[in-house]
Amino acid sequence: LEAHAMLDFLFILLGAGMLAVLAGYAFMLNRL
Amino acid sequence: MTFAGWLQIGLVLVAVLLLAKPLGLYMARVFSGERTWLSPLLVPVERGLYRLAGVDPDKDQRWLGYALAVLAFSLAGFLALFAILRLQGVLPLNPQGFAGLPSDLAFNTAVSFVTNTNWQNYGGETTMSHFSQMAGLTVQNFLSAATGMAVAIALTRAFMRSSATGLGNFWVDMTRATLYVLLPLSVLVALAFIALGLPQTLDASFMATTLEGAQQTIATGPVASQEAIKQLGTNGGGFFNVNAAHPFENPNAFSNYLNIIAMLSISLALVYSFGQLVGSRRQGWALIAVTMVLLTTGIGAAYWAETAGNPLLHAVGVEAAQGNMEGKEVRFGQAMTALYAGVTTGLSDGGVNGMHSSLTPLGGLVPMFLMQLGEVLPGGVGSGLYGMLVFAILAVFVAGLMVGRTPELLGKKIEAREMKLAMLAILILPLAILGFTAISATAEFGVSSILTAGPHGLSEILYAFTSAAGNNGSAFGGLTGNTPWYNTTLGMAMMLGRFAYIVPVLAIAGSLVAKPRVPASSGTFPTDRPLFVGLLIGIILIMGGLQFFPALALGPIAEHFAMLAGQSF
Repeated sequence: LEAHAMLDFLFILLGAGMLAVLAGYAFMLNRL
Repeated sequence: MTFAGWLQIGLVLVAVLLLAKPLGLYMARVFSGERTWLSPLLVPVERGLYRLAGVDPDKDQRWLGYALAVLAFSLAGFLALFAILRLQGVLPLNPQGFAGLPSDLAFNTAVSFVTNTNWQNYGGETTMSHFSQMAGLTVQNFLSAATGMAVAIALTRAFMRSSATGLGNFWVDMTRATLYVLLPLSVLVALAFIALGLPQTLDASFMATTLEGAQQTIATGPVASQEAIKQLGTNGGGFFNVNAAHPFENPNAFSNYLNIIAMLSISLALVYSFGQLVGSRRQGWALIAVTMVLLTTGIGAAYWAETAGNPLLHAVGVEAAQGNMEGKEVRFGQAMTALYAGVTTGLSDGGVNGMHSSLTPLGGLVPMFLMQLGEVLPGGVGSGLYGMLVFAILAVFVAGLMVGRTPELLGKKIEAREMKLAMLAILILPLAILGFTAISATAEFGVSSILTAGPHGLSEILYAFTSAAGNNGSAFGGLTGNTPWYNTTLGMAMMLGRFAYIVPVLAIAGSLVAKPRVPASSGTFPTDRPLFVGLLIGIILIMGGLQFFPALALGPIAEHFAMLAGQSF
């Protein structure tokens, strides 16, 4: 169960992290 | 090729062109906030939704606010769908008792449906409960399509407005796209599908006894409703594993026509809406002309390749014009398979009614190359329009360099900032496609998933990442995608292809909306004439060719010459 929870956490982190990085990318383009 | 085949192809394309104007005018009214014949019914619902969500529909967003709203909304969709898929086993409407999806598959599927890709590393009828299909996948079919339409409308407003800052309100655009366009059309098309024989039930699968006396499980469920939005929203994710080749998803020639018309209609009509909204219907028709020339050429090339067939089969007496049916459904034949393959990949739909891996090498190259052209022919709902406008910006800039005129598109000066942003958007596709393909084609964990040796194996990998990054979702076939490596990297490619494209597109919109709209002068390069149509076609082909020809040469082109030399894969 712990391994599954860790995997879930990692995949949620990957999806949410990519969207967060893209939000940062938007802020960066806005400053250029 | 036969006259009857071309007639079938022509009938579908003419029907879609006839729909473009009325549907385009209707959508232009919807996104302008004007009254439509559905307003008496839907305005109270719309206002109620804004009140519930705390949205002020009159408040415009700048491009950054719009982009952050898109990303935040997509994040919420991703988290909700991931949770539904993981918890499927304890959720209702699961008569088959399917367990929750593994984490990597849930990630891939959630990203896939939120990005309007609908790549399916699962078999729908053996994996998904009715609840997952309806409350998870179908909901995202609507919302991801509406998100694409909203972004396209935001970019359209950048051309409409002069020296402004706001691009509209994402929540309003997304709500209107769903309420006024996608939902009513989906109800109509779903009812038509039910009349044509598609199942619509919440019952479990049932058992049948075959003629041989064997027991066979016949899967069924709410197919018609999912099929309708699957095509209208250019999603492409089918209820069944074999998609529109399944007799319950696409039972006959009429349902096949309706499938293709439904998937083309909104994307093409939205280009007409663009012309209407920017005050230049000729501009809309010029972009439609670009789409139709390239799309028809692609369909014709696939049709020719399939009727030319495989010389190795000719040698054993198979008549290619009639008998080259490998990978095709008998009830659709060569012309309708070529049309479906061309349309589903020119669009970013991704539904299939045959197996693309089984097409001839050149017949398989066509759908792959149509996706690599940027999914703009006419592309996904919304995403096709904003993709085409990025190419149009590039085309006027190149034209300006060639003839010394100031680059302008619809009265907006195209300068260095817009060009840099356009290139950031365009280059994300080759980066995601070729980067992940190169790793997968050289590492054991990537190569171990391919079914066929030689160039065809490379095509399997290249097609998968092309489909993912282009947010298409169609599968070539052959590749075992349901592995931790492909679930993760295809998901990442989908995310990049969707949102790393949308962010610079909205930045372009933010830059353009702030500029004054200058009237055309003698120095303006007209962008609604055949010369511009030809230039834009050339730009799209050259960009696609430069980026992907080397990879295609190693895959389907090498396979074609090997076939002529007597070797098949």
